[in-house]
Amino acid sequence: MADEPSIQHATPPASTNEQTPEIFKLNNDCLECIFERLQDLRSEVAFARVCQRFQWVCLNRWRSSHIYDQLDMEKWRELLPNYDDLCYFIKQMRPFIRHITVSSCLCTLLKDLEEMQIYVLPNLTSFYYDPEDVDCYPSDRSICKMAKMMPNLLRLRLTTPIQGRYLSNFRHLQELHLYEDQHKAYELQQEYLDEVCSQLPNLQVLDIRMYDVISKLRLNNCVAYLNNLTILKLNLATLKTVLAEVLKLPALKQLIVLLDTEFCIPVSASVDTYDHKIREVHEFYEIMERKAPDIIGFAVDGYYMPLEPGWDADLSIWSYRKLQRLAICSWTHAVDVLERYTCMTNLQLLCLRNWTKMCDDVLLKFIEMCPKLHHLDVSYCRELTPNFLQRALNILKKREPNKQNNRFSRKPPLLIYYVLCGFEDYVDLKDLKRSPEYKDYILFMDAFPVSSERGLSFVDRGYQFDFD
Amino acid sequence: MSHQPEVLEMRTSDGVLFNVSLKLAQQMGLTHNWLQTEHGELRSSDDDDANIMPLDRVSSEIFKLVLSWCHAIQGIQRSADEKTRLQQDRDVFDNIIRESNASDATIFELIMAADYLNIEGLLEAGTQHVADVINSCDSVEAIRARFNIMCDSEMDN
Repeated sequence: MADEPSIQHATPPASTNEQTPEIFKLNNDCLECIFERLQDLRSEVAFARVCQRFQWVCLNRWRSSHIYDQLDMEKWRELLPNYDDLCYFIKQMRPFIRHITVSSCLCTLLKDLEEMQIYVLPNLTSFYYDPEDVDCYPSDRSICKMAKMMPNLLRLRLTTPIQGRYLSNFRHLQELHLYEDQHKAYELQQEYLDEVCSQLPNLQVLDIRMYDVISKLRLNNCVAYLNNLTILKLNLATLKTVLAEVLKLPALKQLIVLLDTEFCIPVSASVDTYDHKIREVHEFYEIMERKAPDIIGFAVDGYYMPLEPGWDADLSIWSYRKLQRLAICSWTHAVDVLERYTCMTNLQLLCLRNWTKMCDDVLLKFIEMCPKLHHLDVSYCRELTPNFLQRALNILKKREPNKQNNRFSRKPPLLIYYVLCGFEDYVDLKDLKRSPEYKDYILFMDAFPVSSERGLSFVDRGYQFDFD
Repeated sequence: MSHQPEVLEMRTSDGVLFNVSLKLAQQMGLTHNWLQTEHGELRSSDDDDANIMPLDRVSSEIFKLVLSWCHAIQGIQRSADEKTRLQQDRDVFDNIIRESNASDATIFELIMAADYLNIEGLLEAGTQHVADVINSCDSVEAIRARFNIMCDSEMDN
């Protein structure tokens, strides 16, 4: 990686003018106190532009606050409506910008930076391009320009259709995210995927899923190079021919598989009764079998996977009982099948979104028998009742009485994700989020667990495995 | 058994001696340090200089203003609300510089004295005063003109 520019902490020499301005007699601590009391960024920039000494103070404060680590051109334009001020500020902060998130046109951003004579962002480590309401597909030329501008980029997210040429120019790339759960006109070209895999030895995360077509990408030429890959997200069609090799990847910790589908419901079929299940389960069971000793987590989307009661009866994972993360979502059958998982006493995350017949009793068994449970996601489980909460609280209190007084061995509280579940209204009505009775034992989260998909399933239209 | 005196002798950089009540002096963080590290217990001795706290970076003229500020703060009912307290400090500061017809040089020396003596309220009030002046300027040139700063040639590049 390129060297980070160093900042001198010594006080720079004062002006050697015979009539030194009185304000220069203030030391830098006092100047920093003044800076902290300026009313907005516009005033700060004006202060910085007065002289080198003030510029040095301001740059120090901007840099150490980390507020401007992320370049947000739209927001900065609002804060600094004067174009000269904006150019000055970006030029000063250029060496310290670490992240860029772009939701407007990428080509416009690159052009703006060029006009400001910003040619290199040496410490930029992540670039996320996720346009909203804009059809701006970066050309090969734009990607090439980006690679020159961001030589030390580690994380790249580009969700628009791209050919993939020049992606391998990001020599230090560790993460490449190309997936968006929307229609994409075309996917990466095979030759450029081969280049990325073979020429980027630091690659740790690769997401090449395609949402609404059967992916034509293949990893057969690539998999031998992916020795540092820890997370792989791909379509089932891509996985099929390299499953054995993928499962042998030495560093692999997570595998997310998107079931390929082309939404072509026959004209004669009823949309309401159409069977959405994608009956491609061979690889799923093969992973379960081959990697049983290493599986510490799995997630399935029950809406698309053809899972029936008893599907998991003979799995090898029962011999190892290593599960820490379990997510089975959109299950329409009886809940008693879930009870067998209470033997997984190492469970930390349990996600059971959209179970149509979920009941308090089964869930309470997990609270009782899985003492390490930290995340419980029961979003969309309409059959749960408010009674569950008090009973769960009683179990947790019995396990750790007087938790607020015991500062030495406190387990973190149980996080319950409760979007549109049966007790959502009760939680909001009784304001349980701020209840002193609950706060050391249960925290209520009106979002979804980090690194899970939003919506009815932890992982959309497919499955996920976590390995030891 | 020795006891803490009620009056602290303090000598400014120009050699002027001030007798400051301990209660007032305790508004200055520097005196805490001095009392704890230099003189755990003040004792009578032939060398009276040992009991005099030196203020090497504050002139008598500025120290008088500092004491005026400390007196005024001591005399008002302090609000529990932080925002109101800040405003009280500002008001006292504005009164002092108005009554003394303080120039920019005096104001800056007062800020530096507050920094040296570790008087947080005075430092905040002084620096807020200067920040307000800068905020009221509508351009870089206006700030330079206000504080008589010449443009660095490198700033134009």
